[in-house]
Amino acid sequence: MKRDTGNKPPRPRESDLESSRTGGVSLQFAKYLVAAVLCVVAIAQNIQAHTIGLTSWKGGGFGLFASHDQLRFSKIYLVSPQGLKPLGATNRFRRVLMDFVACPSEPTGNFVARQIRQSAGGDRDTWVVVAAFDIDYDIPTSTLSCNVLATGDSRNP
Amino acid sequence: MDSTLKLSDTSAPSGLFAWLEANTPAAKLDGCLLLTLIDLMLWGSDYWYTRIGLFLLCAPGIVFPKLRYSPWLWVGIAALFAHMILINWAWADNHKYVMTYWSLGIAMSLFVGTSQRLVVLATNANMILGLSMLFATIWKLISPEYTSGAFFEILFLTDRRFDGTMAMITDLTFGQLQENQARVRLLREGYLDWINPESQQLHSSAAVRRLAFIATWWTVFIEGIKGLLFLIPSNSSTIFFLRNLSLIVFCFTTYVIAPVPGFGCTLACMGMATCIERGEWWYRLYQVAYLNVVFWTIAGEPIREMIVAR
Repeated sequence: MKRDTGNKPPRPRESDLESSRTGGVSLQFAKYLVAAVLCVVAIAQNIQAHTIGLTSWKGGGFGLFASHDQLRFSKIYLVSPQGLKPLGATNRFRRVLMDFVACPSEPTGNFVARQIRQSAGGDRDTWVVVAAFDIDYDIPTSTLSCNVLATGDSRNP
Repeated sequence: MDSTLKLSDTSAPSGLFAWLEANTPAAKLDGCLLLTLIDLMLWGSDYWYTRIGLFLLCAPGIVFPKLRYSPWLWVGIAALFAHMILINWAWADNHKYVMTYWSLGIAMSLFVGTSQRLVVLATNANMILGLSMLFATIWKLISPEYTSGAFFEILFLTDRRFDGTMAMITDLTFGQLQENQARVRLLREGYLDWINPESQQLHSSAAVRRLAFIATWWTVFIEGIKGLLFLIPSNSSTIFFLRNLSLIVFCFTTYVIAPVPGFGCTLACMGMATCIERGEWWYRLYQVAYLNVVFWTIAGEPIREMIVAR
């Protein structure tokens, strides 16, 4: 029998066939892209929660119902020569305040305090301080207590 | 199922209610996509600006069946969710992430040819379900606040969604539970009235602690099992049965207590996606689970008030 010595066209690889069957998008890509993104976001959230204090409830790491971070809260005071005046969170700065409580840090606190100071008005010698708190629970005594996570001052840059 | 059958069975159907007419894979896929669009449109956003965007993307997909088979529609929805998460990253709820992943998963399945569509859709649903449950379990196991039982004890003692149930099944009275809620408010907002307590003692009891212990480890068990079952790369009948049983039980029990319609309905839609090729009854049960979440979202509060009044 005569051997065929001519150049055969290369056999298409299985992945090429698969790709042509799937409208140009690789089957593996279509199957696992979402899973890869989910893993990256969840691991990044876990790292942020353990390094920069991001609440376990937010950030896409599925840490909701894993801690009582949902009880985190903030306090805001307008400070003037006359003394302290507590301020409630109005809609105007609720969003930046929620950012601060979800991931408390001094720079964010200072930024939030400056934003609130701008909208609160008042004299030049008044300023705003904010603080973010979380809650601890002592099971034997059924006692809730609060701890300061971070503070901010509108006088700080 | 034979791939040639899938090729013809999963292309876009012709009628608005085609998904109700038959039990073919095409009808089931259509039902899954339609219910997902309704879920995303109703519960996808808490902000008016993204709600309008979601309405503009989802409503045409609901009305025009062929449009919901366009992968670009789903890419658009996923992009809108991603944008919403990016600008609100510190406080976007986890189910918004799940909705983003699910929209992207649907888009991926529509990008591939019809012969592989159902496989890609089911793989994405299994992956999202399995990984989200697995990460939720890991988070709980590494959190001392959770493993000590403190998380569920505080939740049961101070969350108004549980006060009716707690007053019925434990020795605490409804009044004591409302007092607990007032004490938490005092701790968080008392400073506005110049009351600055640093701590507050709650009414609790051994029964609540036992219940918190059970809830703590039951949740780890059910979420962990679900995570593993959905990630096991097996299509055996037993795994398929256990997978769906665990998710159905979760959908029917969790959302009676804590109705989060966006998450509950998305879970039910992903469950449906895993049962398009087989498991007719499971598919129908997920549809009932979807309606169950909607029911408790609408009727949960009036029922809770009735229980409290009694």
